[in-house]
Amino acid sequence: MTPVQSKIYTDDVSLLMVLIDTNPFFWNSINSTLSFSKFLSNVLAFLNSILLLNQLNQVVVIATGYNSCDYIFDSSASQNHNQRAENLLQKLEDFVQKDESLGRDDSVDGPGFSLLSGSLSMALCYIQKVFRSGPLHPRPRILCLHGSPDGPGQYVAIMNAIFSAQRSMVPIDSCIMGAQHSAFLQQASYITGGVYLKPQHLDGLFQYLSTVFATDLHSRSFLQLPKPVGVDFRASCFCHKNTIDMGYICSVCLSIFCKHHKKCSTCG
Amino acid sequence: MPQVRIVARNFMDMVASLPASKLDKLYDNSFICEAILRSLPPLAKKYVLQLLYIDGPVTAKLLEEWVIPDGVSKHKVAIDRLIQLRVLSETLDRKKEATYRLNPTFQINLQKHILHGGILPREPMPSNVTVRLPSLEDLDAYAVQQWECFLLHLINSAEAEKSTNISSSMMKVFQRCLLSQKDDREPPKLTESGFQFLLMETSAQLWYIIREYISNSEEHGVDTADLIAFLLELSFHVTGEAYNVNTLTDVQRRIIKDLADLGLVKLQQGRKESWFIPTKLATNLSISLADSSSRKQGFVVVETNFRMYAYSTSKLHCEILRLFSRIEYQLPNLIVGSITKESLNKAFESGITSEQIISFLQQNAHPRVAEKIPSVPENVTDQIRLWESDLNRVEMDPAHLYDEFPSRDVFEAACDFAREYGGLLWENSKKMRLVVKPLPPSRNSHHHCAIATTIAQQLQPTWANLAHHKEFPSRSVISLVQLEEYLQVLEFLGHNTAKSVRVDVENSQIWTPAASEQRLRTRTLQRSKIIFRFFTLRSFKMYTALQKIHKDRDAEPTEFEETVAQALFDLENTNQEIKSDLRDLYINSAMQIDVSGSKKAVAIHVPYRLRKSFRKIHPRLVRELEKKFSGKEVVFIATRRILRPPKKGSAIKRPRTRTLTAVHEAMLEDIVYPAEISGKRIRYRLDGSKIMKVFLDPKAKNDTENKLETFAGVYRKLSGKDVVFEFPITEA
Repeated sequence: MTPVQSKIYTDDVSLLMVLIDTNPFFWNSINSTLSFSKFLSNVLAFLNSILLLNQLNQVVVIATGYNSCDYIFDSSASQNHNQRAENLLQKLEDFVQKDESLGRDDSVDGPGFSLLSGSLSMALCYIQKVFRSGPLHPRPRILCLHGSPDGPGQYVAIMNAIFSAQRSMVPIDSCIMGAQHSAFLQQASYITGGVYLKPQHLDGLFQYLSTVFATDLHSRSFLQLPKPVGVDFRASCFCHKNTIDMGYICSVCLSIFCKHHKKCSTCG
Repeated sequence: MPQVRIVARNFMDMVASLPASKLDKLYDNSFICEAILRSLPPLAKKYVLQLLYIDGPVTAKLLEEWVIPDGVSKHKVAIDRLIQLRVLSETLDRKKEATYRLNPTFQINLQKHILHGGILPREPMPSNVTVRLPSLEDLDAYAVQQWECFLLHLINSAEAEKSTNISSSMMKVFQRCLLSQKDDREPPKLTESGFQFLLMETSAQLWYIIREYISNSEEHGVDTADLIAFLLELSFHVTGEAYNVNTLTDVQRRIIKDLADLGLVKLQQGRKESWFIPTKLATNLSISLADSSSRKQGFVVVETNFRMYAYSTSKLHCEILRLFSRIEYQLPNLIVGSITKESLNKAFESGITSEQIISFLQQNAHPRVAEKIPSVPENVTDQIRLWESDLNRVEMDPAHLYDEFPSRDVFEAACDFAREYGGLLWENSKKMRLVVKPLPPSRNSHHHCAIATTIAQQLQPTWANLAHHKEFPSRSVISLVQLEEYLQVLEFLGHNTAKSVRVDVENSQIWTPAASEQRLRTRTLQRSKIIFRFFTLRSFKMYTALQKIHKDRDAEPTEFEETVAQALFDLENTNQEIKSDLRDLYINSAMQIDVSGSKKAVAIHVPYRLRKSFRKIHPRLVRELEKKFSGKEVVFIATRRILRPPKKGSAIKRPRTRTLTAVHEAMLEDIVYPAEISGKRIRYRLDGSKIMKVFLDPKAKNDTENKLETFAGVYRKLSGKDVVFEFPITEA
């Protein structure tokens, strides 16, 4: 898997893509022990600390809604340093309202699940744009702050995004705020070489973020980080999106089905 | 205690070396905290972030657990750095374990920064007041221009086109380490560090200048801490925005004026107020703090044929390239040159190393070639390094040669003593000679000095000693030990009459005959590179006469054989015609054989494989050798092995060529060469004795007529049989 031949800084300049889960169904449910505002204040402090560490560090925030995803904040866009937080919050509010208003009926999974595949793809596109921009660019990584359960309809898209991240050598870190583990993000972190963490005390979220997720890629080779424990590698079938242990596989395109089909729906 | 030694290589080390109270005062300023955080190594930054909200002390063990075993050295470096800068304070608690705590002011400032985001040191002026603000490109061009003008002035005031406002005393401060002036009349020349300075990156150069500026201001009474604080604050301004000069104190205003001359800020005057605009050089100050690579656009393309194309119009770049390459021509936007051995030698003599040149070329590689790996072709980089190591081929040490020790004990004692102080360079215990480095002056052990002087007094000066008891200056030759070998070296190098070489030791000169006729080659001992090269290649076998003879089973050649070999050797060196033929030839052995009473003959055994080559030059060689061994006849015989008839048990088949009869017949043919054997007769007498008659071809009658007795004698000696040689009378 040869990555794109590109010149990167050898030290700790990093480009951090943060994917924030803004699904109100999750944040208001009993599953979350942290209020959204507290969560945001932790995240803002974390973003400030990332930008503090190195003058050339870049942070881009993408919000994952349940109908759409959008860019919320880009630190390289020239704006007043004083009002970073205000800008971010303003844009976030606009996004949440827009997301609610969209209310599509034909959404992939349903309102309980966030569009993780969409935001992953947007993040990867941004990273590719940065790769092609100039001779030197920072080392990119993706941080997923996720809480909603995994939407089975997005399995294929998420796996594709994970493999393309692996090919571009972009690690995907995940921090789970919900009550249950997310199989997709476990696989993502395992395959791309990122860190998967489900903090036990969500009140100290900033400490978790700054200890584990603030390390740049250069220093990761010297530090002990949480190791993956028992990754759930089960696939889900392409027809019903259930996780299955045993199934039927098309010999041409390797898509997985739970029942025997005469004709493969992917390649025919 | 910090384990890393502080070397004031860059700005942060200067900050770290400030006294503790000043450093703590510096941390009141939140920009300095930010700047210092940014300058730490990555691991240290992480530790600070993790400890930011922890109020109590943290044990060192806990911090060490965060690191995997491979990274322990980086961990140590990070912790030492943090302690040096007094960001972490180390205390020993009751259990004698080390704990760390963040500096409280530092902690508070950083927490504020994280929670409230970055604050600007001052507000930019509203745009209705500031008119004619330069665009970012103009600002960049201005900065580059000012900086280059300053550098040109620094190096050579005559070359710069524009004058700079920096006072000459300031210039002298900057030039202190970079230029040296031998004579007031001569223009000042760049020193070694001056050249290195030129080849450094802009950020490194900038920091060097700023460091000099700060140390200079310290002498003038400006507080270092204030100056450092202001400079760091400056780096947090936004490039291109105008800031009111009124917000600065008087001291800062003076500093701003100086910085404007360096190109860090641009001063502009409005109707009522004046403002300064920081350029990219100023805002990049904090990036360069952490020794990271800069994003400058390169301009040099180096090709594999050693040609160099520099797309630049700047005079400074031309000067820098002229340092180590030969500029061939200069077009309006292109400088074309080539890297040659002479130009590099010039650079090496000025003290520039090959690594600096290579890193300069790599860092300034044009974007077109910068993406390729490697950006500078490998053959060019390898060749530059090789040419540099060419100059370092011979190592010279000042040395003393001691010879003619009165006894072995004194010699051994001298050797041991030399080994003790680490100065033994070479010893030859067979001939009891010793070459040592001079005693280091700092040794104040009188006892050792006494031993050394007694040894020196006991030695009697020989002619070789005379040369070396005088301490030659450090660039002179060492251990010219075996002068005979040296003379042979000269022979080998083609000085024909080496025996008449005159060595004038007092004046350190060697005269060869050709030279003495025309005074062409007075090589002083100091300068002769060939000789040096020769002596350092000690493992190379000395080409002497002993190469001309090779005895089986490592037996020592007898005296006679040595003379024969020497004769061959001399022949080879003197006689130009057969020199090439003789070069690879050598003999096995030689013996003197008495022939018919008074006469002697020389039988030379020659390796079987070389017999054809010897036969080629046989007539000439025999003639020359007979001249050398006056009166003695010379015969060449090939060495052949004779095997005994195999015993009952052995299975090896003995080849016919290895039988006695075959060998003797072949020997006979060798002896009479160039005459040929046309026939043999064996006559059996009645009493059983045999007489062998050998008929030779009358073609070679003239040459070999007088040698018939010699042939018979040699054959008799070698085989034990009597033979009579005849020329047949009738042509059969």
